[in-house]
Amino acid sequence: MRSVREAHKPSCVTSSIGGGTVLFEPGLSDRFKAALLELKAEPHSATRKESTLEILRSVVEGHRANRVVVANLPAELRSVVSGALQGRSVQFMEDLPSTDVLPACAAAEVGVTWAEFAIAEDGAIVEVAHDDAARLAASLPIVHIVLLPAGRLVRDVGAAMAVVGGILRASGPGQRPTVTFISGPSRTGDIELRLLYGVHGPHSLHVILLEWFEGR
Amino acid sequence: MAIEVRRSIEEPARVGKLWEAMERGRANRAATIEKTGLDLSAFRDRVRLIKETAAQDPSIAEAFAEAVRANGGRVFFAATGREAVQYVLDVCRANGAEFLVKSKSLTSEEVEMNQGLAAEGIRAIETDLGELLCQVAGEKPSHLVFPAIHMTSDRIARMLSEAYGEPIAPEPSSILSAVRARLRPQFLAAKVGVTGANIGVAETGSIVVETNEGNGRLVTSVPKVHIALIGLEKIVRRWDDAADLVRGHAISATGQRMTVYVSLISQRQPVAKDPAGREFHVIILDNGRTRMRADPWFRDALNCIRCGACMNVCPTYGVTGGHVFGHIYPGPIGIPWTANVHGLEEASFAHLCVSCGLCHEICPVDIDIPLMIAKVKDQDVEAHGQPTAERFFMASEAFAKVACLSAPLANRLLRRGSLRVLMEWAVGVDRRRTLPAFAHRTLRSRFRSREGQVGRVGKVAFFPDLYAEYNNPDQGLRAIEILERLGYSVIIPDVQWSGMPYVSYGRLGKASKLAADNLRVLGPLVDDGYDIVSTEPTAVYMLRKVYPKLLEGSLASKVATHSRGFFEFIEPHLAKLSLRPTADAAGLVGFHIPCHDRALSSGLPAMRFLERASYRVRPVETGTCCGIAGTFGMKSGWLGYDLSMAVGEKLFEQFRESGCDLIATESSVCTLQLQDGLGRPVRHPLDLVRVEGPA
Ligand code: SF4
Ligand code: SF4
Repeated sequence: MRSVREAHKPSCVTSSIGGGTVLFEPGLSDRFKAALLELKAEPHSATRKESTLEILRSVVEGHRANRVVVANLPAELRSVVSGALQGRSVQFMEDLPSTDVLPACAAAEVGVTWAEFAIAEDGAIVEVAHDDAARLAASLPIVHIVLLPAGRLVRDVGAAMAVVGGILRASGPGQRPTVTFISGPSRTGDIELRLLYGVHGPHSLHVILLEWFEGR
Repeated sequence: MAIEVRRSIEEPARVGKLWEAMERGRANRAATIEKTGLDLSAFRDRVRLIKETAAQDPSIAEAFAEAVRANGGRVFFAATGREAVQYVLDVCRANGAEFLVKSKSLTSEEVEMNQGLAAEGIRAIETDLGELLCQVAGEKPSHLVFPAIHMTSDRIARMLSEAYGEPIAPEPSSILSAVRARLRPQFLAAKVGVTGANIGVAETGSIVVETNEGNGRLVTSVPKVHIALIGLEKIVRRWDDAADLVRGHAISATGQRMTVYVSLISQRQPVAKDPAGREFHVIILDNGRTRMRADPWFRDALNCIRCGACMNVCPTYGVTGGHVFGHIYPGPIGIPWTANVHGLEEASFAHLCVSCGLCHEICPVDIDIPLMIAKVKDQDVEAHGQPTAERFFMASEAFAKVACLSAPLANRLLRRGSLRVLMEWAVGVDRRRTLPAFAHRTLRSRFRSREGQVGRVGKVAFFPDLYAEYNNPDQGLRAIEILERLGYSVIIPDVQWSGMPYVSYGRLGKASKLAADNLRVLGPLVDDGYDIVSTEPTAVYMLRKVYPKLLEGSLASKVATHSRGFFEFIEPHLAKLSLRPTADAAGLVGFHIPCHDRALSSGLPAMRFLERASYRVRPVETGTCCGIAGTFGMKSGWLGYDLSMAVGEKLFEQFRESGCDLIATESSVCTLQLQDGLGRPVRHPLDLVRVEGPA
């Protein structure tokens, strides 16, 4: 809340999310990337559409993955993903009959989804899902790739809660999305306190910051 | 209980791991607080305000229920655990589910959901790794945050190989893959998923589910039906309130900035636009909470955010573990919770608490856990009687008076083995414990027979407590003399002892009466311009922290604000004095911070006092108690001396390795413990410094 207000300067990026206008703070991108690295998530910066394609391709190749599920992306980005991953099985959850979604996500090695914004200091991306296909695609495969417009960063969890509170209030009863803060890959310390990744959710989390795309 | 304590102390591998978890928990927490620049005391105040408002206002739960229904969810108010389990059972049957998947939920353990469902033929599969390991082993979780901390990877691998019928290597990564592979099909086939909820938010009818492993995400997305079980006290009004709680859970539990997956769930979502069969149920659990809310002694427990920090600092939990120091809820806060939701009979582990006060110090919500524990002990003693040793120590003042009158004889007898055997047998004082010798003349009698000084700087009422009065009047006189040098007029008021054992041993009526008696003497002195000063940290702790809790009203808080530890009190004036070491060469002093001083000044003024006398000073500490905890470590056997030595062992080790020339501490009982544990003299800072001046 505080930092959103403080950020009320002309240089701020303004976006409209879930019916409300949100102000994002500039200059947080390095902190965000550093926080991601500390959490064992991998940040990538995509300055142009073409580099986005390259990053997607190399990440998927790097994991030797063949089956990719995609959900919750802005329509404009669908072609980017399918273009990048030609020759592999790429399924868009929105196109499938509902009963096929779970098996598709369970069989895929990579899930590509969308983050509405992110929390810089905590290295957390914020997923806003009106459909659980988005959450299944993000949590069942062992690799999760998140696309995020680079300018959409708030400083801390307090600022994020203010935005999310606004979204949830504005959505109205029965129309409220499920919102998830995700900071890093799935992890556990339950065996002898050793930090291990990928126990239930993804073992790898890639965040591609889109510098050329403002969002829906 | 004694047998269980003994068994857990004698299992060093397990104690070591738990201790490591606790140390790491404390260190991570401290590092994250430092890194995030969190203002801890402002944070505590905010969280406390949020939780207090939430826990005390019944209309919040109503508003929450209303909002959940408006989102299309179903709400069930469960008065008891049994009702909650029955509801889950009904939902399972209605959906033809033979099993369900569960993400970690302490509240579901509180209501013993798994057992209740199993009795009706429905399997609950734990999906949190630690919980799952406990489930396979048929054991209870031993730590709030790391339930399976007591298991080694070798044991886990053996256990799972047998349970899954395939060989699993003892490497943690192999265990992980095996569990992932095993659980996946169960997730995919589950019709019902059950979670707890870390927070409920009334304004939008939402719950917050936090997991690191991501199992919470699968449990709430794959199955058609999601049931969330939430304790009444976890519901807050607005989203603004939730941010601090999300931060607080993570930092205090594991030292993370944020839990990996924080899911804010308000309703069921369709899958690829298909909403068929997707249900959301919220069970709001009372199970004694409304009663706690009305109980001034226990309502504070409702403010707990279940972060586990208190566990990571508790000395006796650290060596006994959650299976002994716990019923279903383990650790310090587990005591008041157990007494209230599972009954006093299950809460006898309260007596393992040694009233060190550290859990209160670390709690992010500033919950006075030790006081609630004292109340549980009080109720338990009321119901089941009191051990002789505890009665003996509560009569310490009377005993000391008699012992002083016949000091040379008493001291000779107390050193004699045969009397100690007798004392152990008759009153339960451990014969191995060195007891302090008694002085022939008490502090008061020596003080009366000397020439007092009239000072112009101010007036001090010196509170001697037992040790300075009966055992070491020299130390008391030395302190008084320094106060006089600084220009204070000093009196010794006609007070009794501070009475900590009444609190430790759960005799709160007596504690309150004693406090009232002492305050009747001290109140008028404060009005007359006196400050209350003591060299005994426990006495200052009682005056400052405990009396105001025992007695309401302005008298206690007035005396509290005017009570100070000796070194803290003289520190601003030290420039007037010349301080030199009593030893020929000032060496390295290893300093032990008494627990009760952590709530006050953390030993800093005393350490600076020594430094001014040109000593090098280093605090030597494990971050927890030395183990004696007042008179606890004087009691005989596993519920006293042995447990106390087991707690102390880490600290003794650190002192041995510290290379210090001298050992110092302010507390009289810590001195006994360190001397017994190290076989070396332990000095009071006043014994190490020659004070002269002002010029
Ligand atoms: S007061 Fe000390 S011994 Fe008692 S529960 Fe708290 S930390 Fe443990
Ligand atoms: S009592 Fe305090 S420290 Fe202990 S779990 Fe609850 S909130 Fe955390």
